[in-house]
Amino acid sequence: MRRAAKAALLFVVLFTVIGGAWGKGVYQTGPEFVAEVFGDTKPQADYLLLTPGRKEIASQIMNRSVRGLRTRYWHNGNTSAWIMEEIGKELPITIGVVINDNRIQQVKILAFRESRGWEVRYPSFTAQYADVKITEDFHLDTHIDGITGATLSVRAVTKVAALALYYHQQAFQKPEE
Amino acid sequence: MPQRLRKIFLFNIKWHRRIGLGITIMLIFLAATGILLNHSPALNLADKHLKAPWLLNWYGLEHPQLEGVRIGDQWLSLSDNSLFLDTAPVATCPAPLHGAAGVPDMLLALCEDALLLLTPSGELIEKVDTFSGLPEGITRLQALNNQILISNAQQTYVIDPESLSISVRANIEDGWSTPTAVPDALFKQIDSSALPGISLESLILDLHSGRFFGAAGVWFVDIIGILLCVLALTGIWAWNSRRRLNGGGK
Repeated sequence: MRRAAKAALLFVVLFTVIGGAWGKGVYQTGPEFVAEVFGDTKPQADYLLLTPGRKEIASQIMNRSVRGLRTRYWHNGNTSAWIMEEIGKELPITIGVVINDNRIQQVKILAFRESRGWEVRYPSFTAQYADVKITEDFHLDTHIDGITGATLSVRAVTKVAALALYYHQQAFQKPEE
Repeated sequence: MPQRLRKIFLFNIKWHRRIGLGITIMLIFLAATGILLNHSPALNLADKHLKAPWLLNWYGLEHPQLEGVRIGDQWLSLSDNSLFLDTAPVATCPAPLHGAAGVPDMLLALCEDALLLLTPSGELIEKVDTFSGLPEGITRLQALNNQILISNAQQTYVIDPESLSISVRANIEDGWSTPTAVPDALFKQIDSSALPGISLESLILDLHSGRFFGAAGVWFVDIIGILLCVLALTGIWAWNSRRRLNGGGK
């Protein structure tokens, strides 16, 4: 019985340590992500000016103050790709979001730097964001199921998805309302 | 019985006085630090940062070094991932600062794998990193004829800060910006809350609990606490004994 408990403990420790080490890292670079999204069609690189009004809403979505005067994105037709960073617990997660016609086409974790919460990179999790829109009060219109032990990472990905939807809305709507 | 009681009373009062006198200074010190901690928010103790080298050494922190680049009459410098324009923190930037430069209407700071674009007043325009197309391993930056040049170990590039288009150009070896220590006069004026240091609140708390002196300090304060309890008990006992000796309490 004792031996079984020791073996179970060893398994848990090894799983945590090795899992954490495996989970961390850069999975895809920015240029690779953009190339994958747009394929043969060359996207146009552009930026969205962060006016005080946009910053206020962006800060409300992110629940922190958003800095910078502009944010970079790539687009072709009605599709845009955004690469953003948000801190999960202590370190930033780099997230790529593709929007098509104001709906999320894809969410992809490009880099994860912390030792816990990396499960958000799994396609089974990110698939939940497909076809999601933003509501009038800047929340996602679909509930995203969390992952036990990755609450902060899930929250970060969800905030970035909402922000990308808002930015896309702003970038594809002219003039600014 | 009264004789025996009197002897115990005298023994008790003798030690009550000795303990009282012995811990007087510590009691005043603990009371004073306790009162300060109670009013810490009103006194803004958490916002007052101490940077004395001996104190930082005592806490095992390195004395903050500020390295920067002079651009015209301004300094862009970095300490502990905080980027400063002259005396004000303007952005976070992963250390080390490799270089900084200025072109008309824009300042640039090159940190580890990130190029920060700032307005002349220090407002962050955009952070460009390897995810937004900055080549890997860029460690050198300079402004040449209003062009922004960046370089890694293999190649020199020209980067357009508007479109972020990056083109290769012939390698050059001279003119790259190199951070140096900022002048003392500037360092002293820098917004100290953004530099690593010990807050006055933490220092007073550590002095109050004895932690400032390590485990021995904590034990010492524990002993003072125990002696204070003994003082209270011997005081009550002395008061009660005096009543009984004087025939009171009936």
